[in-house]
Amino acid sequence: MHPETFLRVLGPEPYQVVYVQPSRRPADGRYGENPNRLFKHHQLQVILKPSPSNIQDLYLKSLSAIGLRLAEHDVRFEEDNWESPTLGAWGMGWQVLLDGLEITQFTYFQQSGGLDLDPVSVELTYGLDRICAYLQGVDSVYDVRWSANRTYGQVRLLEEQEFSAYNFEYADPVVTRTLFELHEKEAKQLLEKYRKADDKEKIRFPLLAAYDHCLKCSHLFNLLDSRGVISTTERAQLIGRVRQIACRVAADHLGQQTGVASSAASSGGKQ
Amino acid sequence: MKATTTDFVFEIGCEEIPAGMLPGAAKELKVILEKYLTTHNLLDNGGVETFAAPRRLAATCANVRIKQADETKEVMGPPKSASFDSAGKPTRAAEGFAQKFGIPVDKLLLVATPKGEYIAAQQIIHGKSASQILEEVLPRAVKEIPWPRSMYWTGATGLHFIRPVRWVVALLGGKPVRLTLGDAMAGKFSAGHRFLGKSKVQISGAKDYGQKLRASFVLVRAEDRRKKIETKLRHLAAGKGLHVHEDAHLMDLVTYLNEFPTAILGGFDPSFLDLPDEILITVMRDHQKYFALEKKDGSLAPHFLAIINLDRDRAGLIRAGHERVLRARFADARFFWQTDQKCRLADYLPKLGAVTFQTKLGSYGDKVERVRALARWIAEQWFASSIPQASVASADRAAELAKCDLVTDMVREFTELQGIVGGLYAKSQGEPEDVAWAVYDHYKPAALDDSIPRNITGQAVALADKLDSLVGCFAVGLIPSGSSDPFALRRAAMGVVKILIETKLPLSLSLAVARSIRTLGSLPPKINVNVMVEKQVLDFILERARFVLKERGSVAHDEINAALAAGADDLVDAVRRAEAVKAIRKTRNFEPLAISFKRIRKILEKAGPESGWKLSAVRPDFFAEEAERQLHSQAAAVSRLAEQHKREGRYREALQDIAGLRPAVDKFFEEVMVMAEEEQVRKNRLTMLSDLLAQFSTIADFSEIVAGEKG
Repeated sequence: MHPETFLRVLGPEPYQVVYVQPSRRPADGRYGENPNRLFKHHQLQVILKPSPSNIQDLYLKSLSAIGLRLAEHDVRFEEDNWESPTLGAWGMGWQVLLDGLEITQFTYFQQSGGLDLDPVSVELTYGLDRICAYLQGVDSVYDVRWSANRTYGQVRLLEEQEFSAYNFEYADPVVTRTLFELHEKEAKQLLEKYRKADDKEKIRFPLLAAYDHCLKCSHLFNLLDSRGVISTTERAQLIGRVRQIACRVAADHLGQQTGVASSAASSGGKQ
Repeated sequence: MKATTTDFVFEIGCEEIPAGMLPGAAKELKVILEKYLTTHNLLDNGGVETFAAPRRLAATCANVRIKQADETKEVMGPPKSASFDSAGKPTRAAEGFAQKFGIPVDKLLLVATPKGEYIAAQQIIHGKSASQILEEVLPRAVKEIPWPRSMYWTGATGLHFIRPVRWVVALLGGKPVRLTLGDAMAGKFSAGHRFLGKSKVQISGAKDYGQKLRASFVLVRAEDRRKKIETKLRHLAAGKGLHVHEDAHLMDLVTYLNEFPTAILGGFDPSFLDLPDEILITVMRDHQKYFALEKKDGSLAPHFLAIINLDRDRAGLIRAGHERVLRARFADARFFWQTDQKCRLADYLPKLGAVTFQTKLGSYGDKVERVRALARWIAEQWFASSIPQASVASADRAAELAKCDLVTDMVREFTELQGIVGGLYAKSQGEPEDVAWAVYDHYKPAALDDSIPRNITGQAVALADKLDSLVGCFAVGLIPSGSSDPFALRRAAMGVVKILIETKLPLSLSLAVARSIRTLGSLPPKINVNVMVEKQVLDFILERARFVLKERGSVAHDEINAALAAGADDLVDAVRRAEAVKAIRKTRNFEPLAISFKRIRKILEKAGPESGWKLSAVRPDFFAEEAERQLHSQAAAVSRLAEQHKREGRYREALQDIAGLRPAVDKFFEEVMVMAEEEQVRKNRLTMLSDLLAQFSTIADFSEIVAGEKG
């Protein structure tokens, strides 16, 4: 989860953001052999905080805007509650299906980093690779015309093949575990320092870096999972460890921002 | 005369509500609204009808009282003595009381109560208007609809519901009721189908609610949608000369996934038919909610039926889209099928050591070892009981392979295919057929109406697996209570019962449970089992046995109880005894004898502990009456005969023998007073009766029979 999503949904200030994010899921790798399932796919992420009451209509209009005639397609919202156990984030919503193909995850965030959200943000994640394939009328994302003389496959297929092989076969479990622990250690030492820092130091304390290491832990956990080398109990423990960091980052970030806001307000008052 | 009732229509317009929750929500809404209308005296006659479709949960009621009836109530005041002075004039207390109700003192009533006379005021409580009451109760009613998990969208203190509420219709006699849910205010406007209908549909009342929405492409009645789907499915299948693969659960789901359902036919590359039907069907059902199509011979055809939420596939794009998606899904299934089988099923065994079954009970690897030991033992028991098909080696191999598929990608993707996938892999890898089917079936039966494993090897493994879960969980204190049964132990016990009574295979439950307890203690993680567990597990299984037998309905509840009370270690035998009871139940002597047996039991209970009266044996020389002497000698003769019949398994005849005792028993009770004055006579009689009860209760405990109940 990008910090623009994970952290910006916390706290009361309205916020709206859209950005493209490459999303890596080791277990979804298919060696480039599946037409729409990828180790790394691209999402257009939208966060609207608070969620507008006409959000579904806005979303559907966005589909029309990119050229889909809605009456010619079967667009539906099917229950799919999203959850990231490692990051203590979850929400309720749907997967949006376009003629049976999942093209968007639509979520009303209820928690992030273990904190209840108020106001509620809505998150839309458009599956860009699939939507492009659909719009171009090609059967596989690898056939998407990327530029005048290149297909998406020419740009990305090798990466899918190599990383599928790495994720399922080559990733060294011992090294991966060690990396996990290193990132965990770094995140924790940052969080410890933050606790001890005085107010002035807190203002620009690198909590974002702690979150960065937390994300690396989350990815390495997914990697271990796709290698099939963790037991169910260990799985729960690892999730708990990453979640602990994520929740602390979220709480500290919120504290930091509130502190920044109040000190900015007070210094503004003096001028 | 002015109308006293009017109509009410209520619709909660929502963003898409999960299909699986809609039928339950509609039922609950009906109960909740009827409860409120009834308690407030607003329901004239008839009830509330509720509707559920993806974007709405609605209710209509044709006869709501416009206003509650006025009620006259007497409110008690102070006692008469304190209300009037000696001259009969009202006191301050009486005046104050009258004033409180705004009536003159002379209009106060006198009411006689058991505690003396009191003054009282008659008060008229004016009924509230229905709209007033609805304003109060509707917000509460909405909050009472239970959801597995609800959400908020207007802030943490706002309404919690399953999905955001976007519009509300609440009309009483055509007039809006004042009500706000979340940030949606109730009014006259509903919304039609998302793409085909009008976004604002004006409703005037309960009568036109369904029609107005129908005109806007929403079928509010689930039954209408279901019929439309069924008709379309049959029509399209017939056009190809195919049959729809029936799937009641999927049918329910698509009924509640669409507001205006239509079926379309699609096809897929026949080369995918190489994959097993089970997998293709599951992919189509789970991922895509398609119905599979079958040829006349039952094999799959390369076609599917998708239900879309539209009137038709205008440009053919929808069909093309669905076909493309299915191709990718099947490609994925093929990927799993091939990568999973890069090694053999048994090669997954080591990985099971890393998967926890239950923290204290160890890994699935540990469970497999226990199930193997128990399955071997069960097969041995059967083989020793002259059942030659029982193979210890097959049971052992099937148990060894049974859980391997849990760590395959296919089962990770489709958990409900556990067992099935293992069975398919076993088969394609050349395991003996009975072993492959045993793996395939060993989770069966999944429900009361599910079938049991098809062969004896599967039956042995299924029993072993279920007994191990039952004994293991009870041993570590995971005993189901109320609705909490995370290891599905009720289902496991039900499975044990069903397998035994349907196969009629002999198995001593107490020996099997004891064996399972020993296995738990001897194999890692070596759990020491409390002595109480054996009885707890046996009682738990028996409770399920009562339930299963009752549901099967072939024998009555009290017949089951009578048979089980006489012995429940061998369920097959117990069922045969219950059937024997049923068979002779209608004969002349049986029920009267059952009543006498119950009487005997009561007499013995009243006599206190056996130590106070029981003789070492009945003493004929203590008999004082002819009737008791006769009963004693007849009972001895009947007992010999009944024993003989019982040994031969002729329970019905044995019960008939016993029923023949009735005249002697009747005579005994007519002529003999059990609780005689003289101690030795009394003790002797009690001893005889207690022997009688014990002797004749080994097939069925007659005192469990509820007389007059239908057999």
